[in-house]
Amino acid sequence: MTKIVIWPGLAVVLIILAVLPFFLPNYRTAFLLITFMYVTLASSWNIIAGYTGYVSFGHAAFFGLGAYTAALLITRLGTHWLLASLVGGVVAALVAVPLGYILLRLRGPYFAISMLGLAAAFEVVANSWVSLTRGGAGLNLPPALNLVQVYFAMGIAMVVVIGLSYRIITSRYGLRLFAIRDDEQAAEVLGINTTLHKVSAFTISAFFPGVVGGFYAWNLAYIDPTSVFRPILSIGMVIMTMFGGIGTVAGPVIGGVLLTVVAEGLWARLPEFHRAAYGVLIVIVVLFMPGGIMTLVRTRGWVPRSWRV
Amino acid sequence: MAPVLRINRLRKHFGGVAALNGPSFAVEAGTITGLIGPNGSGKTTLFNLITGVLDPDGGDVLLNDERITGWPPHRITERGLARTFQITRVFGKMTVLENMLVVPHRGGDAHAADLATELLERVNLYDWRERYGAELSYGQQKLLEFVRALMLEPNLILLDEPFAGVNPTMVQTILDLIRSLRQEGKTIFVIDHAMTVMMGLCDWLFVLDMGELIATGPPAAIQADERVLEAYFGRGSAGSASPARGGLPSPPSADEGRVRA
Amino acid sequence: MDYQTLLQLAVGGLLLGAVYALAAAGLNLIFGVMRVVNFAHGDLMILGAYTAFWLYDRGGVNPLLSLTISIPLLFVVGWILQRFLVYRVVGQPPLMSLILLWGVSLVIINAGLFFWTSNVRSVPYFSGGIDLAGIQISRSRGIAFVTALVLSIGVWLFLQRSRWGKAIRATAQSAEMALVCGINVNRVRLLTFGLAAAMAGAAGNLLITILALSPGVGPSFLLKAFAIIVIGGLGSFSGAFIGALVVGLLESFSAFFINAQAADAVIYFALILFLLVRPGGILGQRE
Repeated sequence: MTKIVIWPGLAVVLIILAVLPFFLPNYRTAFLLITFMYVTLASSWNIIAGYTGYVSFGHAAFFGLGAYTAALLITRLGTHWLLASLVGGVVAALVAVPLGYILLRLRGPYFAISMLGLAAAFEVVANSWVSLTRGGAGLNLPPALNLVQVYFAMGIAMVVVIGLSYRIITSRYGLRLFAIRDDEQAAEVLGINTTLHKVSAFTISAFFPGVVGGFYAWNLAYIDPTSVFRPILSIGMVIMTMFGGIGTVAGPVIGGVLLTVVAEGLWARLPEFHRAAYGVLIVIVVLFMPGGIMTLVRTRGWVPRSWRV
Repeated sequence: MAPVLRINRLRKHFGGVAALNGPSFAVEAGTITGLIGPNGSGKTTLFNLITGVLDPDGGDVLLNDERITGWPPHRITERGLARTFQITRVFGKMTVLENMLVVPHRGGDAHAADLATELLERVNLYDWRERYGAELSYGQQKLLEFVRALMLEPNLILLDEPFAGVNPTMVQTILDLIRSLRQEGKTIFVIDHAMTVMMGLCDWLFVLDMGELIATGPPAAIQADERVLEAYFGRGSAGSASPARGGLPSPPSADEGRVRA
Repeated sequence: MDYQTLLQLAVGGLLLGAVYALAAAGLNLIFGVMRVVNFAHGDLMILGAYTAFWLYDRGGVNPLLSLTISIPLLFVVGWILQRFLVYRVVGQPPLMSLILLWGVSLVIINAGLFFWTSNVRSVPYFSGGIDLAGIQISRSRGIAFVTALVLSIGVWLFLQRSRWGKAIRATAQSAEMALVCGINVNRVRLLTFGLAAAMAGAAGNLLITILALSPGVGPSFLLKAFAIIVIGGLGSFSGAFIGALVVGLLESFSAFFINAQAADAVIYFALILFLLVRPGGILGQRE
């Protein structure tokens, strides 16, 4: 019964979102755009962490990689920002392949830590390779005059990654990712090529952050190592997904939207407490609702338990 | 009859402990072969080496005369080998049917669904197909793990303690399943401690103690073998002071921070 | 590049390494007893450091004397963390405790930044240095080294000889067996976390006499402690010292030849390398 409501409901939401920027003042459009970005980041992270069980603490590494790739293409080669961002995503994905092959051999906590260090290492490289990145001075990009275009770019990226998440979760491929998360050794012994599955999931999860990293750079017209490799970005991805419901399609969306709204409203006024607030939320989620909002919703019966979504 | 599985001087140690000290033997095709021995004798380690979960420190494993030593598990299953675990490792958060369908099937997804249905019906789990793995009773989980392994359509099936902790009715179900598989020409290699069952089930037995093969033969011969009695009950079996060897834990897998790629 | 400078760097690195080792041993203790990765360990070090700073800033207190405050203080903090938060995730996969303590780390960092701002602080109580066969050893490094060594030996003796120390080691081997033997496992866990936090606090206390620290650098020291454990050998107390040697040297040389930031990156790569190739560490098992 609920199914009949979902698809048209989603269509309505999409239509509204598509039309909104023409009616809203710029700053609200910008806010929505950032929300789309966070939802995209959280959903991407969810694919490697929620579906496959490899929790990465440094996914900002791919965001920053995409941002820098796109920024360099735009400033040095005059590439169009859309193309540049796509290339940013491709570069992030290409880097993810060998990286994943190496790092995904590490179990749980070790993998998490290794990714954390990776983002930090990328930041160090961006800071040090001054001839390429201008180091701490950052890169200036030509101004993005059309906010609506960026809005749609982010929005489409978000819709694509959510759609992809849904396709994966309802497929055999997704089922195998869940098997890996549940018991990797058993999955391996059942004939599942775990390396292939893990690395491909990791690569997918790196692509989208790379792309929106490019959009971000274009939108802000300036990036520097600290802003795009910031731990708070990685932390944000984790907490948004966990809060919303890790391993579900709706989880990252709910968490992304809610936390971006709260962040804008509340913590923008108290920037010093941003980290602490996230920290407290992480503690609460881990102790009392590790399955996030989606699990609460499920236990209340608002959503049928059989739904993976 | 050609041996479907051949072990050549397989060695494995963990730290200073030699879990397997170079045993060699062959499992004949179409038989139900048993592997017995006191706890800690290396049986599960042997299974882990055969299935590619661990790499040996020396020696070889041959499957149908093909050297599979050091192969990753998913490659070995392609060659027709499947296994179950001592403690059931059913995917608890997936449904019974999903547990079956998650296994990669050669014929493609559509065929997988048919095979899954057939196998589930065979063990009376078809009605439970929408239930989560975690909801099943222990015995049902053991059955699920068994038929899940059969989704690979293997020629050689390794069963690690299929009868452990299972009620007598279930034991019978499993026995029937094993025998019908042999009827189909498959080979079954079983580890278990339920002696009466093993003696009645197996065509041939291998006995492991402290990582070495100490006896081999049909059940009747094994039951009378002195070395076997000593291994299980200690030197001078009857009323000796040495403690029963039944309770020693198997060597740890000792890879804390790494999964096998 | 002359021999003298190299030796100088090496000695400097080794001295600092001993302080790191003290903290690393604490991290290892928590992992050994509870299979919990204390992601807030570096921040606990910073708390100890800032305790020393606060006492020095307000009253010119000798940092060695501050240890009498920072050690018990951090012990209590550790106890509280275990008592109210960590105990809930002890049975669960290590990832949950990792994330939990990551959250705690964020809170501590933020609190530190709030109270003390992001300025770096130091406690330059011991000035000057000694000349030992042509090598300059700063007094602060030397004193920190000796103190760290003494404290580490003290902890080692405690673990080896005392009743509670043995109880801790027993629980690390097997919590179930310990329970069966009548050991109050809950109390052991509280003690362990408290002790480890105290060790981290002491290390931080000593560290701030040598380096300038800001509230946000906790994670950097967590990385070092983690690297020490992995390189030296998971679960091995003496392995922590081998690891400390390696990490101290790596840091010293990297900081000199490249820069301080790069030192962290180098240690990180070494960590990953060891995790992949030799997860048991130098003293641990091969697989």
